[in-house]
Amino acid sequence: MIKIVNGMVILIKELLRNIKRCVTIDYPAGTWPGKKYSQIVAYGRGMHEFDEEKCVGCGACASMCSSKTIKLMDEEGERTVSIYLGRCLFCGKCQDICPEKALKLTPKYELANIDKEKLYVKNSLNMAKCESCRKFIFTEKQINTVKNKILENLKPETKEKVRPDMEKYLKLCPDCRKILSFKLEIHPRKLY
Amino acid sequence: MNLKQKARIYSPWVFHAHAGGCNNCDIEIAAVFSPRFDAERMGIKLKNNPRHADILLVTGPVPKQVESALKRIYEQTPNPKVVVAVGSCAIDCGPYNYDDGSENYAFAGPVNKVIPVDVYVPGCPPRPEAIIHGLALALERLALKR
Repeated sequence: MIKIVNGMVILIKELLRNIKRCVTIDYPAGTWPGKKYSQIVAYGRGMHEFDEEKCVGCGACASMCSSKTIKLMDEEGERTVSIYLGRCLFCGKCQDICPEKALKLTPKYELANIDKEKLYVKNSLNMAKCESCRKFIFTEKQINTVKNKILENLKPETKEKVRPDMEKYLKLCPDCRKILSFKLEIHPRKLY
Repeated sequence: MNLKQKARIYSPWVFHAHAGGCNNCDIEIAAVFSPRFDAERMGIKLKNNPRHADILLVTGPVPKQVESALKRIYEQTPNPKVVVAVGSCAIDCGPYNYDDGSENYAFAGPVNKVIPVDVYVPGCPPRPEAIIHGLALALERLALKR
């Protein structure tokens, strides 16, 4: 009799422990009280997200993309950085290479869709014109950041010499810089 | 909605068609039906015969050798049926296409070109939860079809 009761106590203890050790996770995950079983981690690689204030449109992510899903499309006065999630491998190279840290992979993973055309993440930026030939060259933000980054690393004496020169040639496209380099009265070495 | 249709939505049967690819998506699909992500609690069951299936899970970029087999599998499944393309290979050939965007000579295009696809699940491979979400969308499509 005592043996049976002891056996039942052990059995009930095992049962209660096994209820705590539930293997199946709820869907959507993370709602189950034992949070260590949740599969969604903060650094998980999912859908892309642009920080629209920080993004410059330099195209570093497009050159680094391992399956060429990120594309730069220049239309009239506007550059769009578009990511097609249908071909993306979610490797995170674009996140690592981004110089402004504007592109990030969020842990959002529910990307299934009925329409193939809705699998795009896009960001559009305004472009600046070349002053002499009136062609679109870079984005407006990119010119400002290049200017600031170069001036940061210079000594204060040379900074004053370089700044007026930069304001002249940064408004021109690379081809026009070569043609007009004599008129601008700047040293050719400074043409970055 | 008649009784037959109601029963179908409460327990849809799934056939997993492997069309090329690297087996990563297939492992994730195996995980969906394992005890951890248990899709069978929602009545979704994995069957190994397309004649019993309501939903087709297709993975891989469809090589030319597999094209005719995939078409035959699609014709064997009874109506109404829903096709779910799992993984970036099935949606747009993923990394198998060339860098300039031109098509690879070995593939008969993505699944989209061979058979009509209803739901796309991106990811390389997609998480098991993402596949469950895709199956939930497929059920919505199945409810509309007759």
